Amino acid sequence: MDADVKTQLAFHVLGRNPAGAVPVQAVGPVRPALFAGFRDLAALRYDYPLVLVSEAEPAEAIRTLRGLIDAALQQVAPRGAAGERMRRQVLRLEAEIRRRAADGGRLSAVWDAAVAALAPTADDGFAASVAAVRAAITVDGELVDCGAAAPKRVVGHIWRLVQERKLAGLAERVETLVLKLADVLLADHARSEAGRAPDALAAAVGPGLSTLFDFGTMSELLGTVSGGPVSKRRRRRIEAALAVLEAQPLLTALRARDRAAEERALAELVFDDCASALAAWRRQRPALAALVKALAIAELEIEGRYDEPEHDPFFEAFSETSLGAADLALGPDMLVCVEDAGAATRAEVLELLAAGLPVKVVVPTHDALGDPAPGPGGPTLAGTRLATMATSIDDIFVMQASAASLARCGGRIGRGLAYAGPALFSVYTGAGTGTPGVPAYLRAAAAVEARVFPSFTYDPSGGPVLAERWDVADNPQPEADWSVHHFVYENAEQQRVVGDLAFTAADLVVGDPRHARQFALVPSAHWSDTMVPVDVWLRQPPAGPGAVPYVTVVDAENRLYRAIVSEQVMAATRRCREAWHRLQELGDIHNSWAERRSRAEQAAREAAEREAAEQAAAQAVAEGRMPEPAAPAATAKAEPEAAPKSKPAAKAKAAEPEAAPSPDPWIETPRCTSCNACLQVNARMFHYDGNQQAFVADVAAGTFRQLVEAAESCPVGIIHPGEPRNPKEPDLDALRARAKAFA
Amino acid sequence: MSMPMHECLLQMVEEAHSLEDYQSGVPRWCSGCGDNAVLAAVQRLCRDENLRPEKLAFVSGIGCASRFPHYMRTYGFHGIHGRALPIAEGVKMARPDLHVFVNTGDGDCCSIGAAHWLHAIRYNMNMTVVLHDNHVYGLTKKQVSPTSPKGLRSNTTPHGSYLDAMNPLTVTLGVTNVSFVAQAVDWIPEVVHAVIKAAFHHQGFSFVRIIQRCPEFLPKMWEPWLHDPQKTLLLEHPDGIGYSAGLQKIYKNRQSHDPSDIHRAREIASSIDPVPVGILFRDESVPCYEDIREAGKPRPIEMIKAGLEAELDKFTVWPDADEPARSAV
Ligand SMILES: Cc1ncc(C[n+]2csc(CCOP(=O)(O)OP(=O)(O)O)c2C)c(N)n1
Ligand code: SF4
Ligand code: SF4
Ligand SMILES: [Mg+2]
Repeated sequence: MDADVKTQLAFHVLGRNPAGAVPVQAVGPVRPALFAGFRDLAALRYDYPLVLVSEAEPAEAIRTLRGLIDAALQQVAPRGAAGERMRRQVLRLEAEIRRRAADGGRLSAVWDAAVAALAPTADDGFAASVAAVRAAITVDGELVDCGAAAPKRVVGHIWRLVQERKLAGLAERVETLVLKLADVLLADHARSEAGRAPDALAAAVGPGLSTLFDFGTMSELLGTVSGGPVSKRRRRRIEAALAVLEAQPLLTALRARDRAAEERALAELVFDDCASALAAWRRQRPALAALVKALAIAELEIEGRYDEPEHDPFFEAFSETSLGAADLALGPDMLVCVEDAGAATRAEVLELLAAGLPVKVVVPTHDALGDPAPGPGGPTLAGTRLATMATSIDDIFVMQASAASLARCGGRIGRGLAYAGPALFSVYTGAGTGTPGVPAYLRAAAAVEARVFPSFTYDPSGGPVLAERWDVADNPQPEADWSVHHFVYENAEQQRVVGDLAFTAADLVVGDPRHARQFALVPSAHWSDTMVPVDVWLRQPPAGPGAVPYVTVVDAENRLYRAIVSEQVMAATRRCREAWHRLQELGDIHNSWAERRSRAEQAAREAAEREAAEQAAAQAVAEGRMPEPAAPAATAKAEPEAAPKSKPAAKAKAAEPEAAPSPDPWIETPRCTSCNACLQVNARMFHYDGNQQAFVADVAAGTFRQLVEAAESCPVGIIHPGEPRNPKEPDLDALRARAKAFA
Repeated sequence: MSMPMHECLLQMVEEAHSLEDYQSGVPRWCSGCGDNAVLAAVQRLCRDENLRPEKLAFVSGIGCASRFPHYMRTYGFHGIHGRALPIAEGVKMARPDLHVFVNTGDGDCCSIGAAHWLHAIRYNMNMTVVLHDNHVYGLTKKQVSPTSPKGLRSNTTPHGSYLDAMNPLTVTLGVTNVSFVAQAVDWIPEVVHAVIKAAFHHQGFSFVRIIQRCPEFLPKMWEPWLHDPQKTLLLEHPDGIGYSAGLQKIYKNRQSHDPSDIHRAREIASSIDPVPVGILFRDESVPCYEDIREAGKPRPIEMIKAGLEAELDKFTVWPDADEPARSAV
């Protein structure tokens, strides 16, 4: 075995630094080769800063500065060179705003400040260009830069919109109920003796017309109207419900459009740890129970259908422990934002979610890889597990995403916040430890690329089956094990080399100084064929001796190395890939069950075809013919199925017997038009049934003549008089002759 | 999601209704009048759907047919001639939770009320409108109506009427936002019931024309149709109404018609011999006016008073503000 190979292998398996290879620390910070192109992010038009737009649908509430400027340019930039110039000027402004975004502020204000800062050095027409684009941007809102605070601000913003919307509905419902309940009491007063008194009536009509009416008579007349007054019990019940409905500070603020009061009320629902959220919930629960009860009582009272014997016991027993999921979904939701600070916080979050409270939890994770594992070292990936674990609670909405994609997540976040149950938003920010000198945005995006923090949504309201609940589509190259990118570099001979690089979990780990010990750098002079890229290694572990897995990295001077990967990091990378496979299957990508089933079906189909062909051949041989090539299985099967279809329908008709004329009178009741004609002839002989259709109720109640007359009066001719019962009835012959038409 | 609590509590005290719960008084229509068939079908619908009587409002104009609300033990509004539809629209606007029915005659709807009819179609408010078309003014004892056959001798046309009859179906099918049109003949109760049921379930303005016999003034008019089943055309389609086996045995003249096809609906609707029955047209996508305008929003008394004052002020003649100044000059 080659000496290089030997040392490399010793490193990979035993974690020993191979002689000849350079320890990472010696070279200084390295980063995955695919990061080489991203040194100055501010010059790059990436998705941040975001603009939190108020007064918008959740899906439209998170916009990117870039998107807003592009749309505006599209609208106002003239064609040709002038347009190109406008574009350049505005993009310069965009870069300036991006630089200032870390300090926050509203887009309009930051825009103006940036314009003022650039104006002295700007070229001609700058002011006009930026003003035109500014005018075309019709929305405004707070700017959010990528970083530790982004998840809370983005989710918090949409949470507010969703609460406003949801509670506006409730506020309107409460307002309606309050008015209608008040109407019940008002109507009761109008009906009472005091309300009906001549004075009260005169006052109601007003002074102008008072001489036209005799209020004394009117009062007497109204006294005869039926319907008693509202009972004392009912009045108390209505007043109690009214009191509860009118004492809801948040709803009152919304109804009165009192922004400050609304702000205060909403702020009381935001928490920074699980324990205080739980405590607040315990305090608020009785008030929610009272509201739910008052709403139900109000609805029943307004319908006039409160039934004391039935409903009293129910409401007497109703308490805060009676609140069901639908009731909890009625009120506002709490918003809890807890930073992922290790196992204890994660356990607390899971417990809070499982309690089924009206709570939405945001967990920003700043460190996806985790400190070196005790013992063998290597990343623990502890920060990546919370969301997956939460999906096993089953009836909670779970979203996992990276801060880099938050701009696209408005709709998903909105759905989770509107979901009638707890929701978890686990967001990797990239703001913690990681590759030095790489901005949070890039780290966050890379964690998704590396499948370390894949993006997914689990939405129980999507439907009853997993296929309707899981969504993993928002991942780069979701069909593949790893996302693969083009990579171009110059080799020692200054030749351009073009190739594809997969971005694996190991590529993400290599830049993290905490895990530098897990890699050994091999300069290009020592590269050999036994070095296998990590993705290839995982796909098909090499059989030959001496093979080692590597990732490609660059140092601060953009010099290329291969970094041999320790077994600990390979184990973590393998785990990421397995977890990603599981997620893929949940999102119906490479679904192993379906693939197995379709393989089995394919095999069965082929076996059936083979068998059919063999039988046909045997038959042909038996009949002394040449065996024909087999027909496709599908058509062969279809024939016998189609053949017997048409027959039974034809039979059913023929089987119908012809009814013999009946000696008793009868009516084809289902055809009766309820026209009353026969009942006019004799209402004792003919009756209506429960459907208001006539039948012969009592033949003895009338004469044969009446039967004939009824038959003649029947517009649809469905009365059949039959034979006369009394042979002595006069004019029988003539009547019989008339009855013939209705036999 | 589970049912809201008050709905559960309402169901707890829900009771089934019988036909009698919807009946009121003895109809004063002539013996054999086709109006009876409509009344029976509507009462059966209410019972079958177990509709709460206090959730129903029947609105009518003036005429024999318009006596309908008197015979329903529900809310009713026997309005003024030709004005059933605007009254019904007002009811629906104020109380969208009510099921609103309109019973109107051919004179009431197509003559004096024609303008309201056209706009009611366009407003597409969710209500069931039954046109009792007996081709004559019945209540006032035989005057020609817009749907009377040409040549009808009546009190107002002693030498026979001069104009071809208007076809209420094709008119309705020609108006913007039309969303449901159906026809039945009073002498096939199964179809009357099925068509009114479909109309009731349609979200929007459902227009049902019932060819209604007036044995008092036009006793012979529909005789040929009563005697020859071939003169009735049953429209059938999976999206239409179904017919019992018994009915299909009698009425063999059937045709498939897709209610979403408005052009074909207009062609079919023009025929009177055979007379088509069933659903001619349905479009669930047309928005209802009450939904667009947030009907049913309760308003505080002060707001109603202020609104009324403002309306009345429009008709007040204010003294001209400039008047004193001018007279002073
Ligand atoms: C404003 C006004 N004009 C005229 C009348 C007289 N009038 C009462 S009923 C009626 C016609 C009713 O015909 P139709 O609507 O077809 O109802 P039918 O009686 O045929 O059911 C007329 C003209 C009236 N009541 N009010
Ligand atoms: S006459 Fe005929 S249609 Fe009229 S009620 Fe009697 S059976 Fe029914
Ligand atoms: S006049 Fe005609 S429409 Fe009126 S009740 Fe009599 S039969 Fe019926
Ligand atoms: Mg009429």
